[in-house]
Amino acid sequence: MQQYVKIIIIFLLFPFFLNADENLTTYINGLEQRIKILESKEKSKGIVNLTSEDTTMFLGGKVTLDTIYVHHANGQNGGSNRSDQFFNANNIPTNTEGENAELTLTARNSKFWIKTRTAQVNDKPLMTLLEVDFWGSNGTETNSNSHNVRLRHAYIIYSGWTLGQTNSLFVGSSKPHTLLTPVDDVFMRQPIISYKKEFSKSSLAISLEQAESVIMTSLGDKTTINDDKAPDMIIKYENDSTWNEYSISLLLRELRIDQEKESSISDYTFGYGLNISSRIHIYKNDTLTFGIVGGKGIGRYMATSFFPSVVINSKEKLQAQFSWGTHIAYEHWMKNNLHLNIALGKIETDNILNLDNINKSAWSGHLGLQYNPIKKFLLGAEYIHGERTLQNNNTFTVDRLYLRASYNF
Amino acid sequence: MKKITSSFIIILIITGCTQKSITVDETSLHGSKSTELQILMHKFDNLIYQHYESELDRDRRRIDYTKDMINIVDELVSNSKKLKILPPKNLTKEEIKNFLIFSNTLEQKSKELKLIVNSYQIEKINPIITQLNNICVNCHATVR
Repeated sequence: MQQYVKIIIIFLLFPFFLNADENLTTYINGLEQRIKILESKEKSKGIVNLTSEDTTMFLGGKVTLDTIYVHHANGQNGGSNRSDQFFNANNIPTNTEGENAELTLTARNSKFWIKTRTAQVNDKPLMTLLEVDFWGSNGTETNSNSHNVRLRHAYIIYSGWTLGQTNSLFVGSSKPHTLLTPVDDVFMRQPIISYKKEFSKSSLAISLEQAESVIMTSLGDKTTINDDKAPDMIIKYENDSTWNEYSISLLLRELRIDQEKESSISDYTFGYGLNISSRIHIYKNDTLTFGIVGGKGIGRYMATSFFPSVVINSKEKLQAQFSWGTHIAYEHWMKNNLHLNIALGKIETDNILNLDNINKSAWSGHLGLQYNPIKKFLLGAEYIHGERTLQNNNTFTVDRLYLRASYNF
Repeated sequence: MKKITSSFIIILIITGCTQKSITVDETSLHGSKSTELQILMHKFDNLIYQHYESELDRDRRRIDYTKDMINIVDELVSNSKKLKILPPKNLTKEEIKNFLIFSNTLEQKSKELKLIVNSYQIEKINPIITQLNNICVNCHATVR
C-alpha cells in the first residue's frame, strides 16, 4: 500500500520537477541572450568595421548650445545674428546706431566627424578624417534656424604625409582654454600638403598650403584677388613634454595681383611671419599659456583678416603690411572638474595707407568658468570685453556674456 | 698604515656596490612621478576642449601622452621593486606585500598599453588609463 502511495506522490510531483527544469533552461537562455547583447554593445562602441580591407570607422562629434548676450549688437547678417554669435575683432561694431543689447541662442557649434583607420604592414596606419559643423550659409531666427553644414576637415595621414584640408601649420599648438579665443587668434584651415618627421618629444613639419591674397586698395577696401601662383610655405617645430609645450612656425608667401580689370596693376611681393605659442604647467593642472605672432603680409593668418596682408600704395605697387599680436592666459583648476580662465589678447598693425577708417588695433579680455558635471559634458560661462581702434583713434567697444552647454559623444 | 688604507678601500668598494636603500629621495621621486602621471591623465581627459584641434590631432596627442604615461609607470614599477630588496621601516610586511601586488598590476597594465600604442588602437587607451588610475587610488588608500 505504501508503495502505491509513493508512486502516486511522485507521479503528482513530476510535472513540477519538469517545470523547474524548463524554468532553469529558460533562465539560462535569457542570460546567454543578455551576455550576447552586452558583448555586441562592447564591441560596437562608436566603431564600425568596414568591408574594405583592415579599415575601421569611428563616429563622433558634439552637440552644443551657446547663449549669448551682446552689447552693442552688430545688427547684421539678415536676421541670422551670425556676427553676434561669434566673437572676433571684426565683430566689434563700429556703427552702433540703433543697436542696443541683443540676446541670441545657437546650436551652430555642434559638430560631426567620421574617421577611419586602415592598418599597414610595418608602418603607422593610414588615417582619414571628415568633419563638418553648422557654420555654413545662415538660416534665420524667424522660423527654423536652418543653418547649413560646412566642411571643416577632410584629410588623409599616411606615412608622415598629410594631404587634404585641415589646420595650417602656422596655427600654434597651445591655445588658451577660454570658450572663445582672444583677438590675436592665429587661425587658418585650408588645403595643405605637408610632411612631418617625429622625434621622441618633438616634431618638425613642412607644408605647402593654398595661397590667397587679401589686398587693401588705396580707398581702404579689402578685396580677395585670385591671382596666386605659388603656394604658401610653412615650417613648424613642436616640442611637448608633461610640464610644458611649445611650437614655432615660420611662414613664407608670395602675394600677387595680376592685371585686374579695375586697377590694371600687375605686381607681386613677399610676406613672412613667425608664430610662437607655449603652455607651461605652473602648479599641478594650472597652466600659463602665451603666444606672439608677427610679420609682414600675414594678414589673413591672424585675427580673421582684421588687417590686410598687402596694400596697393601710392606708387600703385603691392606693399606687405606689418602686423603683430599677442596673448597671455591663465587657467586655474579649483577642482578636478571646475576651472577658472582669464585671458588677454592684443593686435596692432603699422598701416601703410593714411586713411581714417581703417583698423589700427584691438584687444580683448576674457574671464570665464568651466564645469564638467560628468566627463565630456561641459557647462561654461565667459564674459568678454573687446575694444577696436581705428586709424583716426576712434575707439569702439563690445561686451559679451557667453553661456555654453556641450557634450562630446 | 697599509691595513687602514686597504680597509678604507674595501669599505668604499662595499658601499659602492651595495644596493641603495629606499631613501627620502626615492619617496619624493614616487611623489613627483605620481603628480606627473596625474597631470598627463588630466591632459588626456581634457584634449577634447582644445581649440581647433581635429580628432586626428587629438589622436596623435593621445598616443604621445600615453607613451609618456608608460615611461612614468615603468619608472614607478622599477622604483617599487627596490622595496622588495630593502623594505623601508615605516611600512608593515602586509603593506609591502599589498604594494608589490599593486606594482605588479601596474606593470601588467603598462605592457597592455605598449601593445595598444604600437598597434594604434587609440580607442582602447582610455579604459586602461581608468584602470591605472584606480590602481593608483587603491594603492594609496591601502598603503598610505
